[in-house]
Amino acid sequence: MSNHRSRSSSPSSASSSSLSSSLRLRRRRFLQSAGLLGGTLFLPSLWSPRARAQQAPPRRLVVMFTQHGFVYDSVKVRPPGTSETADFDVALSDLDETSLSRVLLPLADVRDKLTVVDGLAMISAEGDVVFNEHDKGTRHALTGAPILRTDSGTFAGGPSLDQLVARAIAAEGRLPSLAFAVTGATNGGAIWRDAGQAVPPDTNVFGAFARLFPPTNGNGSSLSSSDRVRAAQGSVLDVVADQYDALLPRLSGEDRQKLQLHRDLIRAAETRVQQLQQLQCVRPDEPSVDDDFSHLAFYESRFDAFVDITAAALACDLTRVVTIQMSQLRNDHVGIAGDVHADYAHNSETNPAAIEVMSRYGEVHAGHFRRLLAALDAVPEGNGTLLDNCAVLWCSELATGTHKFNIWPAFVAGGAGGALRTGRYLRFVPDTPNPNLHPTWPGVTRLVGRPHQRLLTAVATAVGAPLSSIGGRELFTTEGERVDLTGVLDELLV
Amino acid sequence: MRTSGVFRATAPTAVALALLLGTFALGGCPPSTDESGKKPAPIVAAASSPVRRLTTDELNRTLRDLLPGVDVPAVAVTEDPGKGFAQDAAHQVVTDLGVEELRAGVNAVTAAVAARVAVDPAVLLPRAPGRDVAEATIVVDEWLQSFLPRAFRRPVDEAERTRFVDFFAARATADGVDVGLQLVLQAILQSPSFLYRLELEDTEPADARSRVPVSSIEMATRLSYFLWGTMPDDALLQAGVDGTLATPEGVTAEAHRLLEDPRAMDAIQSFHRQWLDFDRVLRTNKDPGRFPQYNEFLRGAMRREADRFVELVFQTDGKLRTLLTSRQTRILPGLGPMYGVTATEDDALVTLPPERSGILTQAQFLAARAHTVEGSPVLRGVFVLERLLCAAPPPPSGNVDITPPTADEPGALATNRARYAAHVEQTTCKSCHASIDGIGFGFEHFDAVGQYRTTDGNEPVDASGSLQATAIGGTFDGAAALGEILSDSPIVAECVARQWFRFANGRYEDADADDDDLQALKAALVANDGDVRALLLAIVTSDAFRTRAAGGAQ
Repeated sequence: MSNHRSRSSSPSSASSSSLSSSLRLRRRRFLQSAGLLGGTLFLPSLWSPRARAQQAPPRRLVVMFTQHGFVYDSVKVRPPGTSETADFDVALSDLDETSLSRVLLPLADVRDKLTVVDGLAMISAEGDVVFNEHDKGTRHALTGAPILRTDSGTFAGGPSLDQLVARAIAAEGRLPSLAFAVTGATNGGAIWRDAGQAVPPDTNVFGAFARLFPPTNGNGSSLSSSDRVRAAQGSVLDVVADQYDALLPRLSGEDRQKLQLHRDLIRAAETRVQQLQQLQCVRPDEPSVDDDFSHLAFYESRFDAFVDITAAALACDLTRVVTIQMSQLRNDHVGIAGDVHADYAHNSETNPAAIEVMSRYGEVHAGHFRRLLAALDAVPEGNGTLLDNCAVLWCSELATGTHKFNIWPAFVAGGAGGALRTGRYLRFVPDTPNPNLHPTWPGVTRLVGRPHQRLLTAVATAVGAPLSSIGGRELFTTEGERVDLTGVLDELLV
Repeated sequence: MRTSGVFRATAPTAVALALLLGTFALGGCPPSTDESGKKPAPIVAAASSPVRRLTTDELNRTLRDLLPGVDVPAVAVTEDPGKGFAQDAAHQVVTDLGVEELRAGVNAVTAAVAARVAVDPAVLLPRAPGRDVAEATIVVDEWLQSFLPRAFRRPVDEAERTRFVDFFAARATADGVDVGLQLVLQAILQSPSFLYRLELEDTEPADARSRVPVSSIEMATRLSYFLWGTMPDDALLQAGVDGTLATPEGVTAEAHRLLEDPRAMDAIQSFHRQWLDFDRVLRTNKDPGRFPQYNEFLRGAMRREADRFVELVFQTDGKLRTLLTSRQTRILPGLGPMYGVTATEDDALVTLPPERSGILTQAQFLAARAHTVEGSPVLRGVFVLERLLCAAPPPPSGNVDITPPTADEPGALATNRARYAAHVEQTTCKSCHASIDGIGFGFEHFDAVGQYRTTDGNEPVDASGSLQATAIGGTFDGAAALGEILSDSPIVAECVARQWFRFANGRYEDADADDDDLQALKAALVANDGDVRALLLAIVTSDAFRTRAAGGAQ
């Protein structure tokens, strides 16, 4: 950690005043008292320094997915001596806070563990069929794959990063991944098991908490009925899976695939319930949320609860992959009366008031991201913290609130067990032909950022699921030029 | 509380004049450069009959009916929030979360059952099972002889039953009778035979289109989930076993009976809730400075009215015209001031003033399709096009400025309508907005929370609208007049038939394979003066509902 980070960057300074006033939440108080990156033992990791674990901690992936892209000028950093026309790769710790952008400022004190990638584009979304960009971007962002459209809706054309990674790094007998959403998955969701198969996220913090951290059994001598029911879950699932086995030969086509998957998930659950009985996880505190939709805390308390659950689940190795999808911020997050999406996001390149509001929008999410990172960093693990063994990606379904895909900012934090280069600001000058060079649309540039697929492959590689491509492999511009979507963003890797 | 059937037991309306329809292009405005010639392969094969899982609502109602006498805790299984009906098989994904949620939910259900059975064994079992495993196993075997066919909605042979009995005996030996009972019930309630609507019996050779009739017993389940949203009752299952449901006459007779049962209202509500997106208002906030009265309670009152109104429509005559034009509704007292009426008790029957007329003038719709300060002609117009005309305009591209205008911009025009009208002068937007705004402007008498107004700013409201750019044609003044036109329109009748087809069959219609069915369904609705009951009866004897792809489901 850089030692010149400012102590004044308390969590609440990250946000607008309307936000900070709402943060009378247990989680926040706790983090403040524990101190970001402080030594207080928050959650015992299975690989905590005291546990003297034989093996190195596993690498994990966390994704925070937000809406409406970014105001580019509120993200970008141009340190002295750099130019708009040349790539650069600078240490964030070398930048003093006055040169950080609005969105980076809330992340100032974690910037040694953060890398910002400036100069990617969701080219594959831009080049896909003409369709609502929110839908398209939501499906492309983590899959890199062209969308599928049918009468029943719009689907992603391939598995998302988290699902691919989960398949590669999941521990036997644990949950491959957890998909959460704060209030809901916007535009049908960014998480896809495979082409056409959405993974609806869990929005219920109490359900998630109860499933992941069930009460532990009483002492062995006096098991209650419910203890015995719990202990016998594997046998129930075995009988259920047998019924699927008997049924499958009588099905064909899509139906058979669907029920086969269901059978497989039940078998996995069977293994899991047996293994998890051996695992002693420390239960985090019972979540508490505000259920009045009129309150800002409706949103904030759910985010905090999912962050707590995420940190605890990763610390105890209940899973190694977690995604948190964030629905659109509320008016009271950014202090407006109109419509965030229509009144502000759509105007966020031209209208000064809209630019201001959507810059604030990015700052608020930076505050969320920081809270997520802080929670992971509060768990000692191995020689560092849980965060050091994670790759934490923050990205959006669009590059800009104006529905562009041209310069798509991405934030990657955590060390991924030493595999990620952190503390960097990576800038790539747009050098890739725009696949959709529509002659009449305003603000369309001939060159855009590099294919965002290479960031996804780099993140996957960092956490131990090496990929050389994800989703589409190539596309052709309207002028017939070929764009290669494969490869790995090596600059992100050690 | 169920006090009366959904429909009065009157004879179907005399056949009215069937309207001869021209072939209208329903595509709405022309898409610009849509598709780039790339057409993805459909996920669900055309006119297949994909296997369907019980939706979360269906699951909960089924548990209620399968376990009478037990206060069954709700099971929450996360569903894909895709567009359309939860019944659409294409959106019924399988996930770890779903498996875990079902397991957790079923465990809570069986715990509740066990608690009840401990007090009163007769709610579930033929007699008290006692503590002796051998004796209890006999009781469980006897119980499962009647329970399994109800849970699986088909006959269950001895071999299949024995597996569950053996499982009970093994667990009861290890964990006690009480726990064994819970565990065997958990295995049943997570079984694919319970959770999925499996159609596996090919009773006849396939026809030229590789389709076979749905068997009589499978038809019992199709009927009950379509018309009740829950499992078949014993009479319906018996009709299935008897083979009665193999003929259109048998199906029609049972459908009549089902529609006269209070459970039919559950399915009707489920359809309307999803079709007309009633829940949206619950996630709609308003500017508190402008609308201080809009709060959690008012939002809930708006949402509640929608259900009570649908109920009232179907207790009245079940006609589309009533849904779209009736001024009678049931509201909570708190909603009275907004409508200018007094409700003296919860769900009081009130007659609304003439500016209100049918579902499209309800506060829940008007507030949900509005921004925080102003109503949105665009959202309201798109809703009508998409849901009632089945002619959704293509979504706007982000490469055009689609920012709604606001009143506080310097030099802004005086009314919401004028601002919107000026806004779509951009040539690229005009073709779509002629249809969208033509409808949407008709709602200008209603503000962002759905209150009636006669002036906007200092100007009188202009709520004249036009359907010229749609297949319906014509002009109108105000939302009530719009409701009148829609209620008589064969275009709307066809769309409503399509929506019910999707709900009933768990899939979207195929433009070719299902066209005959859809034409017949629309004709039935039109010929019966928009009586939705006639439509439902036509659906259950339609080709799509009575047949499926051969060889098990596809």
